Amino acid sequence: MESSQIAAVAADTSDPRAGLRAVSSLRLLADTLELLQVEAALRSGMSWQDIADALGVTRQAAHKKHSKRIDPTIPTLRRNA
Amino acid sequence: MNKLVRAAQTSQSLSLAAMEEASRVGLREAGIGHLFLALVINDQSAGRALRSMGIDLDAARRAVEEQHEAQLASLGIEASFPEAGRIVFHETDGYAWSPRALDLITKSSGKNKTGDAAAVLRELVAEPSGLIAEILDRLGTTPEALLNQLDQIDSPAENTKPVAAKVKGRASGSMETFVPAPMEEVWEFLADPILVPEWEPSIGSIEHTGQEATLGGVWQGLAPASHPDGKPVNIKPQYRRRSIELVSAHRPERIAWNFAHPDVSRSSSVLMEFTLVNTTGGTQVQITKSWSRRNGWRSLVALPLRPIQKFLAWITLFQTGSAISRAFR
Repeated sequence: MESSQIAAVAADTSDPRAGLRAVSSLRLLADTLELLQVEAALRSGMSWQDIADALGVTRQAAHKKHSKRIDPTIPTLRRNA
Repeated sequence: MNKLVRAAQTSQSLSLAAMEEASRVGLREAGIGHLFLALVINDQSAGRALRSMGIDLDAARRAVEEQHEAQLASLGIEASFPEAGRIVFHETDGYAWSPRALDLITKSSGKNKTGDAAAVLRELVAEPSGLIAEILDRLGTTPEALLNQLDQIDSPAENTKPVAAKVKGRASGSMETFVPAPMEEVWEFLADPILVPEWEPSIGSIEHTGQEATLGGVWQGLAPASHPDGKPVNIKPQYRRRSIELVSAHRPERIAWNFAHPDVSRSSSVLMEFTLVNTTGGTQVQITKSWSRRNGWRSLVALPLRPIQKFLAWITLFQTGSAISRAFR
């Protein structure tokens, strides 16, 4: 992804307060991107199992976290369909 | 209004606004940044204090995003958040407060605190992470200056609320909402019959007759056939059709619509009145909903149910108020 190229990971621990706050921004970005990618995956026809495999979690975990949050107009595949 | 009711209504309206803000940036958890944005468009003194310092929704959204990007940059990560889209709160699910934001709201209705939006704002500017102080700094102010402003605006003299005139035999409910748009635009929005389904949840579609919005004009509306998530709505056939009449229009400060069920005998019609007042950064809209009470023995049966009725009226008013505000965000 072009917009989120990691330029240089500064291991700057001189101001841990600012550093910790920055980590929380990073989590926010990760959450945003995760939902965006899950929706894109479902739109492209990937199953929950494929998504879970790519995320490195169980199918149940991926489904539980995202099934309600995604855009409901995306036709999602049922496991045994 | 007692503190409990006030605190409940405040947290309801802040939750909705904050989660709507979270939804447009692809998040399902509303954090303190979103709570800050919700306060900027709040109708109470907290929102007025923020807006009177020149903080409007666009500037606040920008400041929150830039603050997060700056924090990422401090880690050596050059990234920008995906571009925000429209509010999808009503089509999606799984929303929650972040523990920090929830904690602030809970504290604001604690002992010796008022539980209104001003109390939430006071807790928010004192939050320990320093995120809000940094955002305020980007907006050219400080927590101290903001609290000073809030103290001035929050004085009891400023808090005299207009109360809807009581009419015998009619029940009514009223609420206020802030809309981040000029009065003229809000009036145009409320005066357009085609746009009624946007703010009245019981109307799904309007028969498009191409007729001008003139006083006394009547339009036919249909109840929504499906929920936002696509599930069908069960509704009795006689309640499907609604007639909508424009009963009062004084550009740009007042407008009123009357809703009736033409297929139901003895149906009581509902009057929705909007009063617009120009305020810093947008328009304050007072929405009053009134309907005639039943006569005879039914009124006695309904009497003990009045608190519930009042609550239900508040819910529909709240939905209308937030829908108007959402249309301009």
